[in-house]
Order: sequence, then C-alpha cells, then structure tokens
Amino acid sequence: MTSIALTSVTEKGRGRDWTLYVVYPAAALFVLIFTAYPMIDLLSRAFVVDGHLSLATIGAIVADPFNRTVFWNTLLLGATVAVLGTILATLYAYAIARVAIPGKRVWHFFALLPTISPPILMALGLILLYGRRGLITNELFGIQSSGLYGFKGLVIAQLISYFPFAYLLMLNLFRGLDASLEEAAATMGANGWRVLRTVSLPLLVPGLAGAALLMFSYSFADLGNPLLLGGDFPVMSSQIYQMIIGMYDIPQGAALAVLLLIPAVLMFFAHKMLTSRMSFASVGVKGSSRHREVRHLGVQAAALLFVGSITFIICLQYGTIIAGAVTQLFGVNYALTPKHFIAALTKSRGALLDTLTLGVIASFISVVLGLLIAWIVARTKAPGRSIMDFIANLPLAIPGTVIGLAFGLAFNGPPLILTGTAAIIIAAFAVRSLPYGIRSGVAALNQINRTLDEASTTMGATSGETLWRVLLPLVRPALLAGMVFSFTRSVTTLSAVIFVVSPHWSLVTPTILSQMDRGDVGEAAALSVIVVLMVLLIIHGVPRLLGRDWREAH
Amino acid sequence: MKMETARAKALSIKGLNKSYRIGRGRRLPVVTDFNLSLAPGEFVTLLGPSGCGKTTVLRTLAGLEEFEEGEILLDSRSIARLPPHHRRIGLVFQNYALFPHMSVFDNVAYSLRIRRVAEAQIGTEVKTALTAVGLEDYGPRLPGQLSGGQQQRVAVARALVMNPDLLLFDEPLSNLDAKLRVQVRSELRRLQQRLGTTALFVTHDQDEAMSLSDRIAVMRAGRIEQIGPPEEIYARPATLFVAQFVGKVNALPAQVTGYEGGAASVDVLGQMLRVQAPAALRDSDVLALIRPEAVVLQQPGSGLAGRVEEVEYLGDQTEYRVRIGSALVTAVRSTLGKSWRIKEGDHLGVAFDEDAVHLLPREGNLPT
Repeated sequence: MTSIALTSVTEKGRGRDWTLYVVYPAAALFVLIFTAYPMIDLLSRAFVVDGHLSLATIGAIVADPFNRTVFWNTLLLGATVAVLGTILATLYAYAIARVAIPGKRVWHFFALLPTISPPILMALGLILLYGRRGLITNELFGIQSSGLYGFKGLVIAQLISYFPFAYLLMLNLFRGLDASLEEAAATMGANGWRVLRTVSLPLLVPGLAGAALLMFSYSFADLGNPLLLGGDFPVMSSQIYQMIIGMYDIPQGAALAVLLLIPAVLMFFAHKMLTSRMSFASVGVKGSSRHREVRHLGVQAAALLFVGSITFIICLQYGTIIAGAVTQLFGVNYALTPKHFIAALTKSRGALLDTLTLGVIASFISVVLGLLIAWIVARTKAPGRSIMDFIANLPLAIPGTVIGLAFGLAFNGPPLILTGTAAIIIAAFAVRSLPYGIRSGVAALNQINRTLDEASTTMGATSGETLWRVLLPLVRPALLAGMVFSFTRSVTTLSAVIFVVSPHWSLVTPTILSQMDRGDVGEAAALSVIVVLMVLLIIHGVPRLLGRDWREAH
Repeated sequence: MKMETARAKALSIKGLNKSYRIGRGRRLPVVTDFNLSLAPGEFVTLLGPSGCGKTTVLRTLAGLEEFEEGEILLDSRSIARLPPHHRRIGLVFQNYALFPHMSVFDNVAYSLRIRRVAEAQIGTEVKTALTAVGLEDYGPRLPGQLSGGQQQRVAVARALVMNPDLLLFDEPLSNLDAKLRVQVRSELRRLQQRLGTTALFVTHDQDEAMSLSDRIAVMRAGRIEQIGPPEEIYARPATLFVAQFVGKVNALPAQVTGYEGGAASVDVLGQMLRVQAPAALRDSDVLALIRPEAVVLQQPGSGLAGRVEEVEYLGDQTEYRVRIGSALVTAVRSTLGKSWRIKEGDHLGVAFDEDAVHLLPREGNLPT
C-alpha cells in the first residue's frame, strides 16, 4: 500500500496542465504593474520626504485652512448629491417599475441617456442655458450675473449626470423584489401603502444606502463639472487638477489625491460591508417577480408628472447642446451653421478616432483579463488568487482623478516610462474597467455548473481546453455586454485620462474641456453630440450585429 | 451494431483515505480505509445514504478529488497520480453535464476532438455510440431540445465513445421520473453487458442497485459495510444497517437456546425456529431479521397470537402492523386473490418462515 502526500498528487496533476501557469502570472503582472504600482508610487510621493517616511506633506496640506475648506466642500457636495439623487432615483424607479403609466420605454431611455454621456456635457448644457449668456437667464430674463457657478450649479449638474446610475440600481431592486412577499402582506390585509411601508421599503434599505454611496463616489470622482461650474466653490478633484496642471506642484497634488482617497475608500468598504450584511433583501433570487402595478389615478398622475419633468430637464440639456452645435454662437448669434460639426470632424478627428480605437482595445483587454481573473478566482485554487482579486478590484474605490494622477506620475519616470504613448491610456481605461470585467466574469462562470468543467476534464481536456471550448463560448454574451459597458465607461471619463493624454494621443473628453476653456462652445457642443451618437450606435448596433442569441442572453 | 471495445480492465482500490479540512488542523474523514476490487467487465454498485462518501470515491477515481492515502490500479497500472484528463475514465454525471452550446454530435465528439482524432473517424465513432444508445438521428439537436431520458443517453454515449478503461455513473437516473428510470436502467445494464466495460455505479436507490449490479457494496460513513451479490445483501445482511437500507425488516431480539449442525435453535417471540447461523452466535443474544414477506398471517388459533394495529393499503400489496406481546411486527401480503380480509383490531395468528430468518449478534446492532 503506497501512501501519497496530498501535495504530490495535486502538483503532479497540475504540472501537466500548463494553462494556469501562464494565465495566472500574466494576470498578476498586469494587476501589479498597472494597479498596485501606480497607487504605491502615489502614496510614496505623499508620504516620503527626502527618502524618509514623513507626514510633513500631508500635514502641511491639512494645516492649510483653504484645503480644509476644499475638503469640506467636497463632502458637502457629495452628501447633497447622494441624498437628493437617491430620492430622485427611487421615485423615478418606483414610477417605472410599479405605477401604471404610459410611455415607460421613452422615460427609461431618456433617464439612461446621461449614463452614456461624458458628465461634462451637463456643465456644457447648463452653461448654455443658465450661464452669463444663457438662453434662459440672459435671453428670457435678462439676467447678466448668474447663480449657476458654484454649489448650486454643481449639485444640479451632478444630479443629472449621476442620478441615472442610482435609478438603474433601484429599478433592478424594485423589479427583483420577490412579489410573493408583497402578495403575502396583501393577503394578510395590508393595503398598498402599508405593504410599501412595512415590507417593500425595509427590504430596499440596503439598496437605498448602496445608491447613496454610489452617488457619493461619483460626485467625488467628477472633475469636468467642478472645473467648468465650480466657480468659487472648489472641490478636491478640481483642486488637484489646479495644483498639478496650474502650479505644477506634484507633491502637493499627490498629497491632496491621497486625502481624497481616504473618504472614497471608507465609503467603498462601508458599502461592501453593508451589502454583505444585509443580503436578506432577496433580490433577483427565485420567487415571483410579477408585480401588480399601482392604478390609483392620483398616484399615476403624480408619477407621470414627475418622470415627465425629469425627462423634460434631460431633453432640455441635450436639445440645448444640439442647438449649440448647429448655431453660429449660442447666446449671441442663433443663425444655423454646419461649421461646428465640420470643425469637430476635421480638427478633432484625431481625438475621435483615438478614443474609438483605444476604447475598443482597452475594453477588449479588460473583458478578457476580467474573465481570466474571474476564472482563476472562481474555478481554481491557485494560492494568492484572492489578493489578486482584491487589488484588481481596488479601482472601484479610487476616484478617477486619483487613478489618472497616479498613472500620469508613476509612468512618467523609470522604471517604466509610458508618458505620451497609447499604452498608458489603454492601461488607464483597462484598469478602471477591470473590476466590472471580473464581476461579470464571475457572475457568468457561476451560472455554469461545475460538472461541465469536470465532464470536459474526464474526457481528456486540460483546463485550458476546457476554458476555450466549453466556458468561453458559454460566457461570450456576458463578455460582449461587458465590452460595451467598459467601452462606454472609457469614452465618457474625463478625470481618469486628463493626466495621461498627450499631443500624440488625444481623447474626446479632454478636447471638449479645452474647447470650452477657449470658449469654442459650438465646437464643444458638436463634438459632444458626435460622442453621444457614437456610443449610442455601439450600444444598440453591436447587439444587432451579433444576432439573436446575443440579445436573448442579454 | 458493434462498438470497438478495449479489453476490459480490472479495478483495484487499496486503502483509500480522504478527509475534508474543517478548520484549523481539524479534518473530517469522508472515506476511511476503503478497499474495493472489480473484476474485468464487472458491474458494481456503491449503495448508501447521502453523505456516506460514495460519490467521493467515484470522484476520486475520476481524479476530480484529491486524497491523502491509497492506491488505485487499473489492471496493474497505477492511475492515482495521473491528472484527470489522462485517466481515460468515463464519468456519467447526475445532471448529465451536457455542453448546452454544442449539438448532441459535438457533445459526443468532444473527447475525440480533444485527442485530435481525424474528423472522418469521429463521424463513424460518434454514430456508433449514438446508435448504441438509440439516438442515431439526434446528432444535430441541442441538448436543450431533448427529454431528460434522451439527455441521459447522450451522456452515456459521450462516455462510451472515449472507449474508457472504466465507466463511472454518479446517480445518473435520479433526475428521471420513476417509470423512465426503470426502463433506462435495464437499457443501461444490457449496454454494459454487451460492451463488457468495467463499471462502478453510485446510487442511494436500493432497487436500482439490486437490478443493475453483479455485486453491491453498501457504504456507511466512509466505509464499506458489506459487499456481495444482491441476493446475499438482501437475504443475509452483515449488519442491521445493511438490512434496513435495502428494504423493510423486522429486527426482533431473540435467544439462541441450542446449536447443532450449523443451525441455531432460536426463540423468537415464543416461536421456536431452526436457523442457519455461524457457530459464533451459539449461546448469545441475537437479533432475528425477518423481512415482512416472511411473516405469515394465519387464522386465529394457530401460531403466535397477534392483534392488527394498522393496515396500510399500497395497491398491489397491503402492509400490516401486528402487535405480538410487546413487539410490533410488520407483515405484507399480496392484495390480489385473498378471500380473507384483515381489518384493524382483528385477532390473528402469526408465524415466521424459518428459511427466511437471518441472525445477527445483538451486540453492535441496536434495534431501532
């Protein structure tokens, strides 16, 4: 009777199955170089003075009363946007999910429009409407100085930009909530309002908190709106930008970025704890999801009025941008002209093509890498896999400005210089999309019964062959959906790329920003319209191109 | 219809030990000192309740689970250290594990394509395998378009086409409805006999085990409790656990009063019986195991005096719970052709069929 040590059995077994040995180091290397290294580099810039660990830089930052004001401004803005946005999103989601109103597809479409647009468009639209030469403020009311710039303007711009993300989250919650729970309450004699109050809302509490934290973190990460609308209300992201681009004070900028990191990371882990603790909100599990719609006339009218007004505001934004794109000089000369579109398609053609190319490449990388990491996490027992997963997911917690700055600084000097290359932009895009790639990969793999892997193995396939022949074809729809999402995210971000673009490789969002800086509002508007159309085309075109089975799986 | 078959191989599992980690330094044994040998072409069933380790043994053979100690031999070649994809062991899963994105043909062809067999040969081999399970026309279908029974047969064809050294079945019939299960299991048995592949089948269903197997190994808590042909397992169970797992049984405490010529004289509830028994049981407290069908119900006055406490009508049979003194005995009679109807509360006589009584030492076999 031979006795075999446990390790020898497994190692010998895996020794002939090389896939993991190739995939794992490759994925780990990417994550270490492009996620861990820039962040460590940033931290060291903030905490190391003359080769020693020191709190001097951070201390100086915190001691400066102006910086403290900026910090509190950021928190105040985030909290306001979080609370108001969550309320808006919840009402909007409730109206769409539960109230019998006509035109739901239309309301849904317009509510999602901001999720596929660069947030900077909201600032653009607001300035055209309510700015010093705004259509409404100046033309209609003749007001010269406008209260748009500052806290109020920022709240409005961020609400329109980010409430749709919270709306999507709440919509899924309302739809996923087990209808039989509500039916049970109803059979026990509770009326509609009582069911909502005693059953539905308590179950939604984690979701509401999640939506609020989501809004908070988006507000933190926003750079475009604060730069254009901030006025005398500076926030951390715009302050970091000024520090780096305006004053070229890198240690100060890095220290500010680290300071912004603290609340962002806290918020992220609070959210994680919350969702893991309150998983009883049995969302999306079995049970019936056929909800009875509310048919109370008053409620229907109120819901219709509400979604109608929000949609009107959103349409006004986009309509104004379109108007700005086709008029000589919005606010001064309303004569129609194609010159802005022509300018956008000629002068900014490079930015458009670069955005498209780099976005596609990066989304491909993030989705494939995400699947491989998901595979390592969900299907193997490779040591250290959870650490890799953790690091790869960190960008979820880190505001885009901070990642962008960390990238710009870390790869601007040895050992790895990428400044001015396409690689640095692709990497910045990919790193920020990777967590979503992993998440959708894990979700897709968890849908596939493990016995399929085992069947494949017993029939002689290595894990690589199993991945290629069995798992990959089955997760392909999820992969494509992930690619579209990742592409949209890359195209619309400003904060993550503003520190890594270069004359060789320019992108659309920084171009819009600089056009607005120069006062070329018409060109900025035209370029904005083109970007939104491009994203819409990809989102709706790709599934159609790929045929029926993709849409079904979606 | 002929399938290429390799010479059937003998399987030998020696001293297999496996445990799961359940926290720091503590391990829960799932398979303990497991020994089992299968002759070439033999069909053996691992039978046991859920959690007894039978599926673990199967998965260990396929290489899907690691183990601490032991040796696995196919003929004289050790496969214990081979990675699963080099073992050539066909495994039919409980949920069939058909690849949903591949046609029936592609599912069956999978192992051949992995081995880079020429497409022309794949065509003939897949056709042969599908014909063997009666699905020769279903090649282009997707698994989702097949019934449960058909999916199950595709899974079998997929395992057969590998021309495996050993066929493993992990409760492959448990997802079929009762009628289909009976039909598929006899098909399975015929197929295995024709191909002559050595097969190990895991189930918790004693009917399945009885009807399919050359031998049954009854497992309990990671060990084999008894191994033998179905008749032996049923008629002469080694332990009360085995007796109860393969069917209903009356376990009556009894006294051996004499021993002569390989047979013991036993007093069971007052009836004296002569029962074949090993000499070790001489002069000891025993349990008399009597199957319900060996309990004979008679008109009052003959045999032991009993009173019917419960009647359970089961269609083809009727079951009776009869009180004899302090003991409650279960009897069963065919429902048809009986002029004498027995009702609750009836007094009647009870006798035990001497030839169908089996004795176990009372020690270690607590009656339940």
